[in-house]
Amino acid sequence: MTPPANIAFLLDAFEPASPARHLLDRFLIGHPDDGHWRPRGNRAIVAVPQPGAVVDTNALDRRSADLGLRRAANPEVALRDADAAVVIPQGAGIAANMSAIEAAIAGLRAGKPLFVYGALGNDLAEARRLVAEAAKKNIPLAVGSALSAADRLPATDIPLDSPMKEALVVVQGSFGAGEFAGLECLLPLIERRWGGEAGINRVHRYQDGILWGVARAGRWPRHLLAPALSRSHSPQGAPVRDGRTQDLVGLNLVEKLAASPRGWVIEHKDGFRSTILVLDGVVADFNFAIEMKDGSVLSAQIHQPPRPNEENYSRLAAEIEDFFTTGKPPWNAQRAVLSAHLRHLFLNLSLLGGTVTDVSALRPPVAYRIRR
Amino acid sequence: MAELRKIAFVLERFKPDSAAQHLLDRFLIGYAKDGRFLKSEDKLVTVFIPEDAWNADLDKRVKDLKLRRTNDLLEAIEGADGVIVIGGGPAGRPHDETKTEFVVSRVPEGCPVFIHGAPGRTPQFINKLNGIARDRKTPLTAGSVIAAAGRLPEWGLKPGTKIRKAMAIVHGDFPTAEYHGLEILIPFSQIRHVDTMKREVRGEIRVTERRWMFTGVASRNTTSDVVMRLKEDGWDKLYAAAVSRSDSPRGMSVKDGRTQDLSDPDMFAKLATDARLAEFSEIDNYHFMVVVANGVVGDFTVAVEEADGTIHSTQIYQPPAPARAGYDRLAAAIDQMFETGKAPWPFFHKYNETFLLDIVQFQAESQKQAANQAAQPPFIGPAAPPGSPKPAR
Repeated sequence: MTPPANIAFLLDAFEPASPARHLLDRFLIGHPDDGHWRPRGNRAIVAVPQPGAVVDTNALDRRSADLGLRRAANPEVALRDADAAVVIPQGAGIAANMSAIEAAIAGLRAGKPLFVYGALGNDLAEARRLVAEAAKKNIPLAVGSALSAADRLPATDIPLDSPMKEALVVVQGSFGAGEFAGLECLLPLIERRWGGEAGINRVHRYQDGILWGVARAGRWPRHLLAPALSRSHSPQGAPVRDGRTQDLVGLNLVEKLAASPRGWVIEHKDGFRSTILVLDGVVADFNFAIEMKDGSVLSAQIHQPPRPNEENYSRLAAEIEDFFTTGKPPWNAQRAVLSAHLRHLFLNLSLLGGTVTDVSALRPPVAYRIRR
Repeated sequence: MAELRKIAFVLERFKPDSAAQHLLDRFLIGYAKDGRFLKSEDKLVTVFIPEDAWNADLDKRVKDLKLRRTNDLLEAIEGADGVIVIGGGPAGRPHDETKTEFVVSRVPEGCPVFIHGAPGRTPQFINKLNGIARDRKTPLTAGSVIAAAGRLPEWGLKPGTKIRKAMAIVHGDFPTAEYHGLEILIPFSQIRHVDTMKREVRGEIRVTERRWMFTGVASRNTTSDVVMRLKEDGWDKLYAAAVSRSDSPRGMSVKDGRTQDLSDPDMFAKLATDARLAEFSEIDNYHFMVVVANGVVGDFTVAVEEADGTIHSTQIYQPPAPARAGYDRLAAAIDQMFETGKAPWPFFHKYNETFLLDIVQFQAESQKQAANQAAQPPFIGPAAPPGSPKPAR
């Protein structure tokens, strides 16, 4: 395939520091990529603000004047000539913009790739339907976020088919945002375990004091908390007050610092167990720890470069550009299906106040393997 | 119960977010290393600091963390298993040389000493310090958090690689920025491939490595001069590779978050404020350069060109304040030195850094005096490691 000459951006927002702004600018201007500047290339970029989109019109006008950004009033016009499309919802991409994704799949010609930022659907059925529709139209589909392409600190390579026992990620954020970030960090790691993703049996929800109580009963791997948090570069508490170091786990400070903690324990069909802890007030970055079957523990930070540049968007833009050129998605779309499924389960448990949901009867389960 | 290791800190002052605070706390409390928190339960930490520099932050540490205070420098270092000397200024500023010399001369024989930052003002002093340490079998080294920093992406020069050029892009005031640039680049000189020279001495063939033989230092202190040099001799390729690793470019990126191609030296010219450049040449035509890019980037990056033209680049990663987790790595390096007696990097790196910085400073002052007229550098001779045989001329 050749690089696309015409890319349509279906935008739900265009505000400072939004994913839309970061990605569109990188396609309009260019960006650093693996030790060199990746230029914009000779291509037309068309922005299509969606109905109700939160758009900084002046900023878009400036880009039209300075950088040749084109505008289209509706997706149909823009997609008719597009060689590729990008759909970016509002905020961090937690809620899928279904109408924009559907319009992109309907409007793109066969074989033209589509990248969806953030959530692919808001539940399992929606995500599965979109994947099926894209496949039916032979539209290569990739879904991801800035976290999908982030570096790990230290650089940590997880070999395919790693014999993992359990995994834990620590993130922050309000309900929805934290869980989305947790899944974006967790799923790319655990899908590399032996046999790949086998599907989900049960999801447990633990909150506030109960989260710490059940840890003592072994309901989630508390022993992975120390290796995960040791990778943080932004511990809260005393380090913020006077810069000193602090053994957050050893001094039992995590429970004291965490404001309204939430924990999600996911039991997978292959016996693997993964845990997402949303801990506001403990650290201010995303970290993980994975215990292998031989007892060894691997931990790292998911690196998020500083604002305003947030250079992990450069890495994401490079992944998208390679995808548009080759037609090969950088990540399996089933990851996004599983993410939609789990986020819907999290939401239901929160709304209904339940502690566990059993989806072991789901047929077919969301199972997939990463190709070598 | 295992015997406590006595670690002595010799400080000039103590304030939050200083090297003194970051290192002292790591030895008092502990730090993260390789996925776990290493507690400092096996250490007894003593601090010597001038009376007028004592403050409430230190009082808190005496109360909370059992820091021991002493007003007698000799008492502080007596029986120490390791001594850390930290000056009052930024890393590139020399310390109180008398105090440093006293410490190295009076620590128990064999007790490792780590000096934070530049150990002295002149190469002669560093040579002297090295001689004292060698005679007293005292493991000695110096450096800042940059010397132990991680890289993003992780990359290291393979020992024995033949390289043509290297460039560090840094920012900051003189001479701290230049000092950090040299801290990044000097280790490459240490491990790069060099040819050897053979000569016959009294019927015996002696082989000398062509290493640390500096043949030129040229500094430029105006943006236009810096840009002109960046455009010559293929330096633009190294500049582009190094600057592309920055995660904090200035200019449009700061104004409205958009990306901006900084790889063209002309863009450097537009953004730079107080730009400086120092270029160093070695006898085998290896050149390295420190570019001080104030106003262009807000982090440190480096690029290296191999003999076959391959360019590698990376960022010298400095984790954010207030935790500045980079000090974890420095503390770990010092801790290991105290345990094993083996310095994490040779002290003569500091000799070379100071030797080169001295010339840059001379040139900067001369240029100022001569109103930007090119100054003739003083005689530049080989900067061999102190104590090593003089290379043949």
